[in-house]
Amino acid sequence: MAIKKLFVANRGEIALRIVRAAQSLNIETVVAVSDADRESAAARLADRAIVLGPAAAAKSYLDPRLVVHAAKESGCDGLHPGYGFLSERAILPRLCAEHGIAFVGPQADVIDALGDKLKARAMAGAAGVPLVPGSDCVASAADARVEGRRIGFPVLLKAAAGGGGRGMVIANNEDEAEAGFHRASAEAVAAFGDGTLFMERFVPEARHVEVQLMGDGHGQVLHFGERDCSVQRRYQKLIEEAPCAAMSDELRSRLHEAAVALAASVNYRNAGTAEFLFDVQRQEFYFIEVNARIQVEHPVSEMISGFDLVQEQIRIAGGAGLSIRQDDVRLSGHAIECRINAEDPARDFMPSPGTIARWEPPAGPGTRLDSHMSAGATIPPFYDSMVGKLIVHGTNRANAIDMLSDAIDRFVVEGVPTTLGLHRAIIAHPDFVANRIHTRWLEQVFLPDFGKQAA
Amino acid sequence: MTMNEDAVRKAVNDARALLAELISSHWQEIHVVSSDTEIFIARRDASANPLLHPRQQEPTEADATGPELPIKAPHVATLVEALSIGAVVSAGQKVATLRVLDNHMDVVSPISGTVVRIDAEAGSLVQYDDPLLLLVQLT
Repeated sequence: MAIKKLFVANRGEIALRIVRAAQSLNIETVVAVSDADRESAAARLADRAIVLGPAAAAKSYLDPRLVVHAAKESGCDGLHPGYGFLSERAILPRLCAEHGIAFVGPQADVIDALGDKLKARAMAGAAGVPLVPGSDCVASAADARVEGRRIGFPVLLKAAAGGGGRGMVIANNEDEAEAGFHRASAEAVAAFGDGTLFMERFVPEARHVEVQLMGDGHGQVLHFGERDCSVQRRYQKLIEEAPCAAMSDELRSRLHEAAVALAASVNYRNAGTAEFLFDVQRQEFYFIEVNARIQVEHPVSEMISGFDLVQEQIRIAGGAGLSIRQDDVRLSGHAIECRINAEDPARDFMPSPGTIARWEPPAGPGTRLDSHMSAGATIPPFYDSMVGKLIVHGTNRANAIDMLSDAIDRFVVEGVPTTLGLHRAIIAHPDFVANRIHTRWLEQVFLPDFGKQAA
Repeated sequence: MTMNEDAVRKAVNDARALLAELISSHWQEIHVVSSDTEIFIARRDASANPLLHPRQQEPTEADATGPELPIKAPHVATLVEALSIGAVVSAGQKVATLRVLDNHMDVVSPISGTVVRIDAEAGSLVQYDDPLLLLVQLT
């Protein structure tokens, strides 16, 4: 049954994005808000807004019972969780199912399985998806030499009981592996009371690539190409691109096949993203995890495919099959997105909630802004500080960089500090222009210099 | 927001510190008023939050029945039932029942008073902070 009335269990730009997608499909919308979001853009555009609870997310957006109760009692037959908040908590689809509401996302059991790192790794392995080469238990220093040689240096010695970097040693050759074994084992005993170690290939300059997937829940899975999200700070993505310009077409095809095979093996339903580590030097990729939701950076895939992923999500949740076939997915050009946060990069990225005094975004062909902001809008201090995503679509990467640079220059925001200037500097950097970046480039190479310039 | 981020951060830190004090003490409530912030933290059955329910003016002769106190929904819920107009309750006594999915929960009165108005219909969906009923404090 196609969804007639959709409950939007999220806030910010994605709530607005979902309301617009639903309206394009002639579906009524009810938006959940906290006390702090009563006047949000999504609340004003939707047919109705329901105040779940106070500003604190734990008592509003993060309470699955309040969310489902409000959805049910407002007559909704579908619920879109957006990203973050409850989007990957299996209790939400379970409660929805109990109360006759179609969940716009994967099956609860699939969310559970994918949320467990070891289970997800096992599922990927079973589907033939490459994992980071590694060992079982390494029992002795002699073993460490042999395993290191087999895996290929540099390797990471890790505590089996570990976490947080303790009991972790990088070894670049067999001698370092032997010495590292003794050190890591001693550290692991001290930290965890268990000296058991295993080894993994260490990729010093890896890129983060991910494949956008859409499944019908019956084994049919489409991909919409890959994204490269290597510009990160503290594991938070700042800039995302599609496609990954550092990957050969041959490897790209294998990446897409692996991601589709993994999703098909669990009869994946709705939108999802398979994330991989991309070892550029070796031209190999390794599975990281699957994000069982629509992602922040989905617009770059929409730009290069010309396909509305959120509308397709809603159709599939309403029981429709995939509306297109893989052959219909034609990817063209290059898209780049930057996440604009109300943060002050000069003050260690301190979130800067407040009121937008002036908001004059750029517009034009190939330029898209996903944002819930406007002049006079308030950024409450209770949630993340993203104020929008600026996306451009050019004929190729160089063209897209030029377009983004131009769009940032034309973007006027006053009232709160933003990361627009940071983005301008990143995309002008010779390493970014030459595409010589990796997941630690921003923190290791770019930010130290940027900090000096700011000071 | 009229507070800048430093003030917000300081207020949050102050509130956390006071909460820790309250938890480790036998106190029922903490109420701190400074030049720029006012913080009220209380155990569940302590007195009503004066920040949510501002202190009333001194009762005048025309207002001899005492100050009014609206009872509001703590979160979105369906109102199952509420007391009727004229009902008299003491502090801590149930004034309404709410339902979220299959769970029922009581709304209790923080004061002794009389119900003088019903603001929500039984069976209807109430949102956070919606008034359920109005009490007048017994003097």
